[in-house]
Amino acid sequence: MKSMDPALEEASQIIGASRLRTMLRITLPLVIPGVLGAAIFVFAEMLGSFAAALVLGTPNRYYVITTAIYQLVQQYPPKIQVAAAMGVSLFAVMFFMLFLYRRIVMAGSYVTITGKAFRPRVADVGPLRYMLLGVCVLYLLAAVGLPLVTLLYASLQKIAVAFPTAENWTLENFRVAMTMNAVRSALTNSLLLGFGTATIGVVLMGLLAWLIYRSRLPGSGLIEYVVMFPQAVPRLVFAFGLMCAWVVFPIPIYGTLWLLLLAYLTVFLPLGVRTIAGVMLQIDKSLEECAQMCGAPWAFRVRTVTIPLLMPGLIAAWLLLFIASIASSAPLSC
Amino acid sequence: MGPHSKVITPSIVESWFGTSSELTAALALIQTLVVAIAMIVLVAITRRVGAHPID
Repeated sequence: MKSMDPALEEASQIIGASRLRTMLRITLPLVIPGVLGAAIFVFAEMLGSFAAALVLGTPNRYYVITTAIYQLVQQYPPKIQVAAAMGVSLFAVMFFMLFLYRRIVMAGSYVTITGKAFRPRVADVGPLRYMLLGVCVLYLLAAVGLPLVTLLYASLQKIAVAFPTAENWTLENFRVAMTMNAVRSALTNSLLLGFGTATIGVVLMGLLAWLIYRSRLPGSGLIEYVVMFPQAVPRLVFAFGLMCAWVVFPIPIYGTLWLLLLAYLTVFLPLGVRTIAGVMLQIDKSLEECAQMCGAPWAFRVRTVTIPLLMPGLIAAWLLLFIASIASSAPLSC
Repeated sequence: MGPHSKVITPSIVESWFGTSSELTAALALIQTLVVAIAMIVLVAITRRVGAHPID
């Protein structure tokens, strides 16, 4: 949104359109690649979510597809074939979503970054600001504040109760947590994987996004489908598949961080490519073509034109990959 | 994916089923704190880069 020229919205208002109409007819269509990309990502993420469903749903026998697959694999004898069939059935849903995204994105132009200079303008929403602030604060309190306060409240007690006595308060849980070797090494591994996945991922995914949306490579649409494929596979299913494959593969990386890095890079490929692509689609091709006309070779064009303009998208992708890697609850490490 | 490659979130889920909920809460808070510190540092760097995107 920061890269959008406010002149477009101003022009709409000058010719008499209301703020709502300007938002619906000008702002929203221009941010469609980002919004759709995010919507598809969230949809797929929810289809494959595991940890919350396992902790909150399983005790009440409330299953989603990932916990059902997990149960099928955990039971004796394990029903791996049935679990695999359940996982594969999700592919169709995800491919339909991806097909829809491509149809909408390829049908229009979403260029907002051109050679023309502009200064981003902050919109004044008047008295609505207090209501909007209230909604944001309420959301933050319910989604972030409440769970964190509850966790803190429980972690400071010997036995978690609603109204603890003075003797029930303790810091012992934190001492035990910090002295557990498994936890310390797990935390270090998570941070290492987060940095590794984000740094290698941004380079790899930036290149893939450029190949898909900028190069004239035949079959670039097919590359996008391949890149989005991990999004269609629940991570649990993906982890079992990867585990089975690398146990028999002659390269000995099973049981090491390298296999986790490989798995994370593959699993988060769609997230990174989609984030970078949202920004890439907004950069006018003519900027690169202009540099080409001036005789700049490909590497120089990418370094001096494409990468500086892509920088906000690359940084956003790095942050997202880092958070996603650390917070990943897929039982890739079980 | 092997016994020597534990990461934090599955460890917390395991702890939820294996130990007390109080210890799990402490583990979850430690993870949140580490991620939050890392995020603050990274966002600060991002803002610095974002302030001067093109020389």
